[in-house]
Amino acid sequence: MKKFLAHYLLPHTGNNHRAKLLHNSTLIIIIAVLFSLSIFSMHERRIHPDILGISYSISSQELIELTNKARADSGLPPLSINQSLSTAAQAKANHMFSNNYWAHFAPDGTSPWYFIKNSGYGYVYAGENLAKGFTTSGDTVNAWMNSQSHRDNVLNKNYSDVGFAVVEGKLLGEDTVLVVEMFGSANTPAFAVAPQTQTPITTIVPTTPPENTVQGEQEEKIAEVEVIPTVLPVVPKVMAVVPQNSASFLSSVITKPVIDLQKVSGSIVFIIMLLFIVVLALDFAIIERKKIPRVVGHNIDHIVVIGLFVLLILLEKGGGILGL
Amino acid sequence: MKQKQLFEHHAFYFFELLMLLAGFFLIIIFSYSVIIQFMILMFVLMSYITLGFIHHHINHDLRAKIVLEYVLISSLILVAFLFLNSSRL
Repeated sequence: MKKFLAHYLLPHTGNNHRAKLLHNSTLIIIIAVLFSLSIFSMHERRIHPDILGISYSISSQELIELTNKARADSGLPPLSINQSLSTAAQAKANHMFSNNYWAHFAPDGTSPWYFIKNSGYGYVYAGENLAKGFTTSGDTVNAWMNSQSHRDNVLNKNYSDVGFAVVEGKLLGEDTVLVVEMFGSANTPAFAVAPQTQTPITTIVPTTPPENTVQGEQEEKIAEVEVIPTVLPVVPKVMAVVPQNSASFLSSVITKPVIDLQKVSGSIVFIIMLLFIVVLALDFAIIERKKIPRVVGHNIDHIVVIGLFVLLILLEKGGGILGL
Repeated sequence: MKQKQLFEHHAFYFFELLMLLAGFFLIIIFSYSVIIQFMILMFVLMSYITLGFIHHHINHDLRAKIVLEYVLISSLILVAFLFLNSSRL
Protein backbone atom coordinates (compact mmCIF):
# COMPACT_ATOMS: atom_id res chain seq x y z
CA MET A 1 0.00 0.00 0.00
CA LYS A 2 2.81 2.35 0.93
CA LYS A 3 4.56 1.56 -2.36
CA PHE A 4 1.34 2.05 -4.29
CA LEU A 5 0.74 5.47 -2.73
CA ALA A 6 4.37 6.52 -3.28
CA HIS A 7 4.10 5.43 -6.90
CA TYR A 8 1.00 7.53 -7.48
CA LEU A 9 1.84 10.52 -5.33
CA LEU A 10 5.63 11.02 -5.38
CA PRO A 11 8.20 11.26 -8.18
CA HIS A 12 10.93 8.60 -8.20
CA THR A 13 12.85 6.42 -10.66
CA GLY A 14 10.03 3.82 -10.75
CA ASN A 15 7.55 6.31 -12.27
CA ASN A 16 10.05 8.15 -14.45
CA HIS A 17 10.44 10.96 -11.90
CA ARG A 18 6.82 12.08 -12.21
CA ALA A 19 4.06 11.08 -9.76
CA LYS A 20 1.88 8.55 -11.58
CA LEU A 21 -1.22 10.61 -10.80
CA LEU A 22 0.19 13.36 -13.04
CA HIS A 23 0.93 11.09 -15.99
CA ASN A 24 -1.18 11.81 -19.05
CA SER A 25 -2.53 8.25 -19.03
CA THR A 26 -3.82 8.64 -15.44
CA LEU A 27 -5.30 12.04 -16.26
CA ILE A 28 -7.23 10.51 -19.16
CA ILE A 29 -8.68 7.82 -16.85
CA ILE A 30 -9.75 10.39 -14.20
CA ILE A 31 -11.35 12.60 -16.88
CA ALA A 32 -13.21 9.59 -18.31
CA VAL A 33 -14.46 8.57 -14.84
CA LEU A 34 -15.64 12.11 -13.98
CA PHE A 35 -17.34 12.47 -17.36
CA SER A 36 -19.12 9.11 -16.93
CA LEU A 37 -20.22 10.15 -13.43
CA SER A 38 -21.63 13.42 -14.84
CA ILE A 39 -23.63 11.62 -17.53
CA PHE A 40 -24.79 8.98 -15.04
CA SER A 41 -25.95 11.54 -12.46
CA MET A 42 -27.72 13.69 -15.09
CA HIS A 43 -29.54 10.59 -16.32
CA GLU A 44 -30.37 9.14 -12.90
CA ARG A 45 -31.55 12.48 -11.55
CA ARG A 46 -34.30 12.55 -14.16
CA ILE A 47 -35.39 8.95 -13.57
CA HIS A 48 -35.06 8.81 -9.76
CA PRO A 49 -35.22 12.38 -8.44
CA ASP A 50 -36.21 11.04 -5.02
CA ILE A 51 -32.92 9.14 -4.77
CA LEU A 52 -30.47 11.39 -6.60
CA GLY A 53 -31.21 15.10 -6.75
CA ILE A 54 -30.80 18.47 -5.09
CA SER A 55 -32.01 19.09 -1.58
CA TYR A 56 -34.26 22.18 -1.66
CA SER A 57 -35.86 23.93 1.27
CA ILE A 58 -37.46 27.17 0.13
CA SER A 59 -40.87 28.24 1.34
CA SER A 60 -42.88 31.44 1.35
CA GLN A 61 -43.33 31.07 5.09
CA GLU A 62 -39.58 31.08 5.73
CA LEU A 63 -39.03 33.86 3.19
CA ILE A 64 -41.56 36.18 4.88
CA GLU A 65 -40.11 35.38 8.30
CA LEU A 66 -36.56 36.17 7.16
CA THR A 67 -37.69 39.27 5.26
CA ASN A 68 -39.55 40.59 8.29
CA LYS A 69 -36.64 39.75 10.58
CA ALA A 70 -34.39 41.89 8.35
CA ARG A 71 -36.96 44.69 8.48
CA ALA A 72 -37.34 44.38 12.24
CA ASP A 73 -33.54 44.64 12.61
CA SER A 74 -33.76 47.96 10.77
CA GLY A 75 -36.67 49.15 12.87
CA LEU A 76 -39.24 48.73 10.10
CA PRO A 77 -42.74 47.26 10.43
CA PRO A 78 -43.34 43.75 9.11
CA LEU A 79 -44.81 43.10 5.69
CA SER A 80 -48.06 41.18 5.35
CA ILE A 81 -48.42 38.31 2.95
CA ASN A 82 -50.90 39.43 0.33
CA GLN A 83 -52.83 36.94 -1.76
CA SER A 84 -53.01 39.19 -4.84
CA LEU A 85 -49.26 39.83 -4.79
CA SER A 86 -48.64 36.09 -4.37
CA THR A 87 -50.88 35.46 -7.39
CA ALA A 88 -48.92 38.11 -9.32
CA ALA A 89 -45.62 36.51 -8.29
CA GLN A 90 -46.88 33.09 -9.37
CA ALA A 91 -48.02 34.50 -12.74
CA LYS A 92 -44.63 36.17 -13.22
CA ALA A 93 -42.79 32.92 -12.43
CA ASN A 94 -44.99 30.96 -14.85
CA HIS A 95 -44.45 33.62 -17.53
CA MET A 96 -40.67 33.41 -17.08
CA PHE A 97 -40.69 29.62 -17.39
CA SER A 98 -43.03 29.53 -20.37
CA ASN A 99 -41.18 32.31 -22.23
CA ASN A 100 -37.73 31.18 -21.05
CA TYR A 101 -36.27 34.48 -19.81
CA TRP A 102 -34.50 35.72 -16.70
CA ALA A 103 -35.29 39.42 -16.35
CA HIS A 104 -37.75 41.83 -14.85
CA PHE A 105 -39.10 42.73 -18.25
CA ALA A 106 -40.13 39.94 -20.61
CA PRO A 107 -38.71 39.87 -24.16
CA ASP A 108 -42.16 41.01 -25.37
CA GLY A 109 -41.96 44.02 -23.02
CA THR A 110 -44.32 42.70 -20.33
CA SER A 111 -43.42 44.47 -17.08
CA PRO A 112 -43.71 43.16 -13.51
CA TRP A 113 -46.43 45.77 -12.91
CA TYR A 114 -48.63 44.06 -15.51
CA PHE A 115 -48.82 40.95 -13.30
CA ILE A 116 -49.54 43.01 -10.20
CA LYS A 117 -52.33 44.96 -11.89
CA ASN A 118 -53.76 41.75 -13.38
CA SER A 119 -53.95 40.20 -9.93
CA GLY A 120 -56.28 42.98 -8.85
CA TYR A 121 -53.81 44.66 -6.52
CA GLY A 122 -54.09 48.42 -6.93
CA TYR A 123 -50.66 49.65 -5.95
CA VAL A 124 -49.12 52.96 -5.14
CA TYR A 125 -45.63 51.57 -4.65
CA ALA A 126 -44.40 48.25 -6.03
CA GLY A 127 -41.14 46.39 -6.37
CA GLU A 128 -39.81 43.02 -7.39
CA ASN A 129 -36.93 40.81 -6.30
CA LEU A 130 -36.02 37.68 -8.23
CA ALA A 131 -33.75 34.80 -7.31
CA LYS A 132 -32.94 31.48 -8.86
CA GLY A 133 -30.60 28.60 -8.20
CA PHE A 134 -30.55 28.86 -4.41
CA THR A 135 -31.34 25.79 -2.31
CA THR A 136 -32.56 27.36 0.95
CA SER A 137 -34.72 30.31 1.96
CA GLY A 138 -31.81 31.60 4.05
CA ASP A 139 -29.40 31.67 1.09
CA THR A 140 -32.01 33.45 -1.03
CA VAL A 141 -32.71 36.23 1.49
CA ASN A 142 -28.99 36.54 2.31
CA ALA A 143 -28.23 37.06 -1.39
CA TRP A 144 -30.87 39.79 -1.55
CA MET A 145 -29.60 41.44 1.61
CA ASN A 146 -26.03 41.44 0.25
CA SER A 147 -27.06 43.35 -2.87
CA GLN A 148 -27.85 47.04 -2.46
CA SER A 149 -30.80 47.26 -4.86
CA HIS A 150 -32.47 44.13 -3.44
CA ARG A 151 -31.76 45.26 0.09
CA ASP A 152 -33.39 48.60 -0.71
CA ASN A 153 -36.52 46.72 -1.76
CA VAL A 154 -36.59 44.52 1.36
CA LEU A 155 -36.05 47.54 3.61
CA ASN A 156 -38.30 49.96 1.76
CA LYS A 157 -40.59 51.70 4.25
CA ASN A 158 -43.14 52.41 1.52
CA TYR A 159 -44.11 48.76 1.21
CA SER A 160 -46.68 47.13 3.44
CA ASP A 161 -47.45 43.91 1.54
CA VAL A 162 -45.49 41.17 -0.06
CA GLY A 163 -46.24 38.08 -2.14
CA PHE A 164 -44.00 35.14 -2.99
CA ALA A 165 -43.88 32.41 -5.58
CA VAL A 166 -41.44 29.51 -5.27
CA VAL A 167 -41.52 27.45 -8.46
CA GLU A 168 -39.35 24.61 -9.75
CA GLY A 169 -38.77 24.25 -13.49
CA LYS A 170 -36.38 24.47 -16.41
CA LEU A 171 -35.15 27.96 -17.26
CA LEU A 172 -32.49 28.85 -19.86
CA GLY A 173 -31.50 25.23 -20.21
CA GLU A 174 -31.08 24.42 -16.54
CA ASP A 175 -33.25 22.92 -13.82
CA THR A 176 -33.75 25.46 -11.11
CA VAL A 177 -36.02 26.87 -8.44
CA LEU A 178 -37.22 30.37 -9.15
CA VAL A 179 -38.24 32.71 -6.35
CA VAL A 180 -40.32 35.79 -7.18
CA GLU A 181 -40.90 38.35 -4.44
CA MET A 182 -43.41 41.11 -5.22
CA PHE A 183 -43.63 44.10 -2.90
CA GLY A 184 -46.44 46.55 -2.80
CA SER A 185 -48.36 49.19 -1.03
CA ALA A 186 -52.01 49.21 -1.93
CA ASN A 187 -54.31 52.09 -2.59
CA THR A 188 -57.05 49.83 -1.24
CA PRO A 189 -56.77 48.17 2.14
CA ALA A 190 -54.36 45.30 1.62
CA PHE A 191 -54.88 44.10 5.15
CA ALA A 192 -58.52 43.25 4.68
CA VAL A 193 -57.74 39.52 4.43
CA ALA A 194 -55.83 39.52 7.70
CA PRO A 195 -57.74 38.89 10.92
CA GLN A 196 -58.17 42.23 12.61
CA THR A 197 -56.89 40.89 15.93
CA GLN A 198 -53.44 40.28 14.42
CA THR A 199 -52.71 43.83 13.53
CA PRO A 200 -53.85 47.28 14.52
CA ILE A 201 -53.25 48.49 10.99
CA THR A 202 -56.85 48.04 9.95
CA THR A 203 -57.90 50.61 12.48
CA ILE A 204 -55.86 53.25 10.71
CA VAL A 205 -56.48 52.52 7.06
CA PRO A 206 -59.87 53.62 5.74
CA THR A 207 -61.93 50.58 4.84
CA THR A 208 -63.64 52.17 1.83
CA PRO A 209 -61.28 54.46 -0.02
CA PRO A 210 -62.91 56.96 -2.34
CA GLU A 211 -63.11 55.79 -5.92
CA ASN A 212 -61.17 57.43 -8.76
CA THR A 213 -58.72 59.03 -6.37
CA VAL A 214 -55.74 60.59 -8.05
CA GLN A 215 -52.22 59.32 -7.40
CA GLY A 216 -51.32 62.17 -5.07
CA GLU A 217 -54.23 61.46 -2.80
CA GLN A 218 -53.39 57.83 -2.67
CA GLU A 219 -49.89 58.62 -1.62
CA GLU A 220 -51.23 60.75 1.21
CA LYS A 221 -53.08 57.72 2.50
CA ILE A 222 -49.89 55.77 2.33
CA ALA A 223 -48.29 58.44 4.44
CA GLU A 224 -50.91 57.68 7.08
CA VAL A 225 -49.97 54.03 6.98
CA GLU A 226 -46.36 54.95 7.58
CA VAL A 227 -47.26 56.19 11.05
CA ILE A 228 -47.88 52.56 11.96
CA PRO A 229 -44.45 51.69 13.42
CA THR A 230 -45.34 53.59 16.56
CA VAL A 231 -48.40 51.38 16.98
CA LEU A 232 -46.83 48.06 16.10
CA PRO A 233 -45.00 47.27 19.34
CA VAL A 234 -48.44 46.58 20.78
CA VAL A 235 -48.23 43.26 18.87
CA PRO A 236 -44.95 41.74 20.10
CA LYS A 237 -42.85 39.30 18.06
CA VAL A 238 -45.12 39.26 15.02
CA MET A 239 -42.61 38.19 12.38
CA ALA A 240 -45.09 37.36 9.66
CA VAL A 241 -48.55 38.79 9.52
CA VAL A 242 -50.16 35.90 7.66
CA PRO A 243 -53.90 35.51 7.40
CA GLN A 244 -55.26 32.21 8.60
CA ASN A 245 -56.60 31.23 5.18
CA SER A 246 -53.26 31.92 3.53
CA ALA A 247 -52.11 28.33 3.06
CA SER A 248 -53.46 28.23 -0.48
CA PHE A 249 -51.10 30.95 -1.72
CA LEU A 250 -48.00 30.04 0.28
CA SER A 251 -45.80 28.20 -2.19
CA SER A 252 -42.74 26.15 -1.41
CA VAL A 253 -40.26 23.71 -2.90
CA ILE A 254 -38.99 21.24 -0.34
CA THR A 255 -37.20 18.15 -1.60
CA LYS A 256 -34.98 15.76 0.29
CA PRO A 257 -33.45 13.10 -2.00
CA VAL A 258 -31.54 10.18 -0.51
CA ILE A 259 -28.33 11.46 -2.13
CA ASP A 260 -27.84 15.21 -2.44
CA LEU A 261 -26.10 15.35 -5.81
CA GLN A 262 -24.84 18.90 -5.32
CA LYS A 263 -23.11 18.08 -2.05
CA VAL A 264 -21.72 14.73 -3.24
CA SER A 265 -20.34 16.08 -6.52
CA GLY A 266 -18.94 19.11 -4.70
CA SER A 267 -17.12 16.93 -2.17
CA ILE A 268 -15.71 14.55 -4.82
CA VAL A 269 -14.44 17.38 -7.03
CA PHE A 270 -13.04 19.27 -4.04
CA ILE A 271 -11.06 16.21 -2.84
CA ILE A 272 -9.73 15.40 -6.34
CA MET A 273 -8.61 18.98 -6.94
CA LEU A 274 -6.94 19.29 -3.53
CA LEU A 275 -5.13 15.99 -4.17
CA PHE A 276 -3.84 17.33 -7.48
CA ILE A 277 -2.60 20.55 -5.87
CA VAL A 278 -0.76 18.62 -3.13
CA VAL A 279 0.79 16.11 -5.56
CA LEU A 280 1.83 18.88 -8.00
CA ALA A 281 3.42 20.85 -5.16
CA LEU A 282 5.28 17.77 -3.83
CA ASP A 283 6.38 16.84 -7.35
CA PHE A 284 7.67 20.38 -7.93
CA ALA A 285 9.50 20.55 -4.57
CA ILE A 286 11.19 17.13 -4.89
CA ILE A 287 12.30 17.58 -8.52
CA GLU A 288 13.55 21.13 -7.88
CA ARG A 289 15.61 19.85 -4.95
CA LYS A 290 17.09 16.94 -6.91
CA LYS A 291 17.52 19.04 -10.08
CA ILE A 292 16.28 16.25 -12.33
CA PRO A 293 15.60 17.38 -15.93
CA ARG A 294 12.19 16.30 -17.30
CA VAL A 295 9.97 17.02 -20.26
CA VAL A 296 6.76 18.09 -18.47
CA GLY A 297 4.53 21.14 -18.15
CA HIS A 298 5.06 23.83 -15.51
CA ASN A 299 3.65 22.59 -12.23
CA ILE A 300 3.13 26.17 -11.06
CA ASP A 301 0.82 26.79 -14.05
CA HIS A 302 -1.28 23.79 -13.06
CA ILE A 303 -1.31 24.65 -9.35
CA VAL A 304 -2.51 28.19 -10.14
CA VAL A 305 -5.35 27.10 -12.43
CA ILE A 306 -6.52 24.25 -10.16
CA GLY A 307 -6.14 26.41 -7.03
CA LEU A 308 -8.30 29.16 -8.51
CA PHE A 309 -10.87 26.58 -9.57
CA VAL A 310 -11.05 25.31 -5.97
CA LEU A 311 -11.54 28.92 -4.86
CA LEU A 312 -14.34 29.21 -7.41
CA ILE A 313 -16.04 26.09 -6.00
CA LEU A 314 -15.91 27.61 -2.53
CA LEU A 315 -17.17 31.06 -3.57
CA GLU A 316 -19.75 30.17 -6.19
CA LYS A 317 -23.18 29.62 -4.69
CA GLY A 318 -24.85 28.73 -7.95
CA GLY A 319 -27.63 31.28 -7.70
CA GLY A 320 -28.55 34.55 -9.32
CA ILE A 321 -30.64 37.53 -8.24
CA LEU A 322 -32.37 40.45 -9.94
CA GLY A 323 -34.04 43.42 -8.27
CA LEU A 324 -36.33 46.19 -9.49
CA MET B 1 20.41 36.30 -19.50
CA LYS B 2 19.32 34.14 -16.61
CA GLN B 3 17.71 37.15 -14.94
CA LYS B 4 15.87 37.94 -18.18
CA GLN B 5 14.50 34.39 -18.32
CA LEU B 6 13.42 34.61 -14.69
CA PHE B 7 11.62 37.88 -15.43
CA GLU B 8 9.88 36.26 -18.42
CA HIS B 9 8.81 33.33 -16.22
CA HIS B 10 7.37 35.63 -13.56
CA ALA B 11 5.71 37.84 -16.17
CA PHE B 12 3.99 34.78 -17.63
CA TYR B 13 2.81 33.55 -14.25
CA PHE B 14 1.55 37.03 -13.39
CA PHE B 15 -0.29 37.39 -16.70
CA GLU B 16 -1.74 33.89 -16.33
CA LEU B 17 -2.92 34.68 -12.81
CA LEU B 18 -4.58 37.91 -13.97
CA MET B 19 -6.30 36.17 -16.89
CA LEU B 20 -7.55 33.32 -14.70
CA LEU B 21 -8.72 35.68 -11.95
CA ALA B 22 -10.67 37.77 -14.49
CA GLY B 23 -12.20 34.63 -16.00
CA PHE B 24 -13.21 33.08 -12.69
CA PHE B 25 -14.58 36.43 -11.52
CA LEU B 26 -16.79 36.50 -14.61
CA ILE B 27 -17.94 32.95 -13.83
CA ILE B 28 -19.08 34.11 -10.37
CA ILE B 29 -20.82 37.15 -11.90
CA PHE B 30 -22.73 34.92 -14.32
CA SER B 31 -23.70 32.41 -11.64
CA TYR B 32 -27.34 32.64 -12.75
CA SER B 33 -26.61 30.76 -15.98
CA VAL B 34 -24.58 27.57 -15.98
CA ILE B 35 -24.40 27.63 -19.79
CA ILE B 36 -22.77 31.08 -19.85
CA GLN B 37 -20.44 29.93 -17.05
CA PHE B 38 -19.48 26.87 -19.08
CA MET B 39 -18.70 29.01 -22.13
CA ILE B 40 -16.56 31.43 -20.09
CA LEU B 41 -14.71 28.50 -18.50
CA MET B 42 -14.00 27.02 -21.94
CA PHE B 43 -12.62 30.35 -23.13
CA VAL B 44 -10.48 30.74 -19.99
CA LEU B 45 -9.08 27.21 -20.34
CA MET B 46 -8.31 27.68 -24.03
CA SER B 47 -6.42 30.84 -23.09
CA TYR B 48 -4.62 28.84 -20.40
CA ILE B 49 -3.51 26.24 -22.98
CA THR B 50 -2.40 28.98 -25.38
CA LEU B 51 -0.37 30.72 -22.66
CA GLY B 52 1.28 27.42 -21.70
CA PHE B 53 2.05 26.78 -25.36
CA ILE B 54 3.68 30.22 -25.76
CA HIS B 55 5.54 29.92 -22.45
CA HIS B 56 7.12 26.59 -23.40
CA HIS B 57 7.78 27.74 -26.95
CA ILE B 58 9.77 30.72 -25.65
CA ASN B 59 11.67 28.36 -23.33
CA HIS B 60 12.42 26.09 -26.30
CA ASP B 61 11.01 23.03 -24.52
CA LEU B 62 7.68 22.71 -26.30
CA ARG B 63 6.74 19.06 -26.96
CA ALA B 64 3.49 17.39 -28.02
CA LYS B 65 3.43 15.60 -24.65
CA ILE B 66 3.50 18.94 -22.83
CA VAL B 67 0.70 20.40 -24.97
CA LEU B 68 -1.34 17.25 -24.24
CA GLU B 69 -0.68 17.73 -20.51
CA TYR B 70 -2.10 21.28 -20.63
CA VAL B 71 -5.09 20.05 -22.64
CA LEU B 72 -5.70 17.24 -20.13
CA ILE B 73 -5.45 19.52 -17.06
CA SER B 74 -7.93 21.88 -18.76
CA SER B 75 -10.22 18.96 -19.62
CA LEU B 76 -10.05 17.77 -16.02
CA ILE B 77 -11.30 21.18 -14.82
CA LEU B 78 -13.99 21.33 -17.49
CA VAL B 79 -15.27 17.85 -16.64
CA ALA B 80 -15.12 18.63 -12.92
CA PHE B 81 -17.26 21.72 -13.58
CA LEU B 82 -19.71 19.60 -15.58
CA PHE B 83 -19.94 17.08 -12.75
CA LEU B 84 -20.38 19.86 -10.19
CA ASN B 85 -23.30 21.23 -12.18
CA SER B 86 -24.83 17.92 -13.22
CA SER B 87 -27.64 18.64 -10.77
CA ARG B 88 -28.55 21.78 -12.75
CA LEU B 89 -28.29 20.41 -16.29
